[in-house]
Amino acid sequence: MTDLDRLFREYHQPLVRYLTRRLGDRDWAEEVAQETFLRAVRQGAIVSERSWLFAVATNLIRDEARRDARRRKHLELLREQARAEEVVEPEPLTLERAEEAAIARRAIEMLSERDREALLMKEEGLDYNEIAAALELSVASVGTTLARARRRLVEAYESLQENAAHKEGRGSHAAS
Amino acid sequence: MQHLDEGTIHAWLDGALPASEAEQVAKHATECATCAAAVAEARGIIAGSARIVSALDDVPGGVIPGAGRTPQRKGASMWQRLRLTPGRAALAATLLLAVSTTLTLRSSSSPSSVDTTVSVAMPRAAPPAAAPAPPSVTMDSTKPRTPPIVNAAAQRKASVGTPASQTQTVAERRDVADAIAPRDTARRELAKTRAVLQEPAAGASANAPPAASVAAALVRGNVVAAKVSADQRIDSASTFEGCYRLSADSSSGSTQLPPGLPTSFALSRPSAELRPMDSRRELAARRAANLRADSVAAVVMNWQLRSTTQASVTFSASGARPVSLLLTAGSSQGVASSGDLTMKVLVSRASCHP
Repeated sequence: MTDLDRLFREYHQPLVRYLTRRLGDRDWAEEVAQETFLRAVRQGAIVSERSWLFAVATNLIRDEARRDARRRKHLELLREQARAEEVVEPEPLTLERAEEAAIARRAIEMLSERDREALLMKEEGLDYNEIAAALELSVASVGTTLARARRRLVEAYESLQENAAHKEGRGSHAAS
Repeated sequence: MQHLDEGTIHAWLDGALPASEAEQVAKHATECATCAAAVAEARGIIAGSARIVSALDDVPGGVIPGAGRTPQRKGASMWQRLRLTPGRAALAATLLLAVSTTLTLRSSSSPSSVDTTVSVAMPRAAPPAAAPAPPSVTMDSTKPRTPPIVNAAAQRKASVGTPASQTQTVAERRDVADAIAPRDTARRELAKTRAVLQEPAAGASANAPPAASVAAALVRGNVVAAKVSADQRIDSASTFEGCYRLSADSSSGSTQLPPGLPTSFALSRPSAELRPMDSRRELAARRAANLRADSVAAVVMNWQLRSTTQASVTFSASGARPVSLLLTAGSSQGVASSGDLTMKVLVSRASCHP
């Protein structure tokens, strides 16, 4: 098994999930992941593989976002993806799950970039040292960053949910 | 010991503290009620944030990368699986063109080869009375399709090599081309469908053919086979790309759109399948992705094909329940549904340029 095979088997899944969560766009996530692995092959020996891959992927997102700021504003477009050889439609989201996902995405987008990336990396199982290396933070500040990110995410999510419930209640009241 | 700060508590709960420090924190947390409460709160926040992050995985369109899923790449297009780069594709096209040109030149010197070398599906429309009978009249969709480049050669032979073709009308020649190259016909019919869909709002209601006729037009070109191929799905999806305007359908007794529906929106499908084929198309799709929804900030959450002529779009607006909108190719009426409510709305194509 080559190094690329091993890297791919070991890290492709978590990396794509991280990128999908970060971008809200699976195709884009796949593209960035592929480019990351290509760079890993060109890089040769890597000391800390996971933090290196996540750092490069994160930087690729930032670079691309800088090049095309408009696209970054519209990450929420989730598209139908035809399976090349199958006619089976993907299972549609229920409205409730779609609503929850939309609020979650809005909440995560309300975080600062660093908080968001630290949080998503932690959720992918990166430890504090790896997060610190990937985001060029001190290890000691990772706990504070994560604490802030988590608190703000929960607060933003609850606030958005309350607003949604409030508007829904107002709408149904007006309808009645 | 001072009270624990939030960062330390999270680091402790994450198992990121050195053993000695973790021991001190644990001891303090058992002795200090304030810090114990802070630890409990932090546990709740960690669990809550993890749940919110996992909700981000609810994205439509295939496999969420995760355990138990197939390792096959969902987004891999035919081009990617074939490892076709633009350079290789150009080389292949050049070779194909050279071979087909050679074949065309050879076959044009032997007119009788029309009958034997090319399996030709001839026009559905009856040929002019003066014209001789076509070499063969078949509409057998089970036969393998002749490659388009060979079809083009056959088309030239059909139009140049027979005397009758000189008297054919444009429409007749189009029919011949349609029959010879069903694949191209499919694309042409889809282009027609798109043109119908792209008519302005006022014209759409008056001029748009009923959905059934559009579907019939699609079927006519053998587009709708028993099994819808990936290419056809791409074409069908492309049919719905673009910008739309919505308005209330007064005939259904409503003067307002249902809450959660925008007055305008864009559908794009910048998927992997389109990229290697036409980067300009991708760019257009990307531009269309810049939603110009109205002030309710509705977001197209998801859209997918229900069939080759129907697409379902789900909107989610802040504070409103998600709404599903069923679009039908060629129809100026859509059906919006949210919960138990169902309402007809008027749908028209709009310019994607503000």
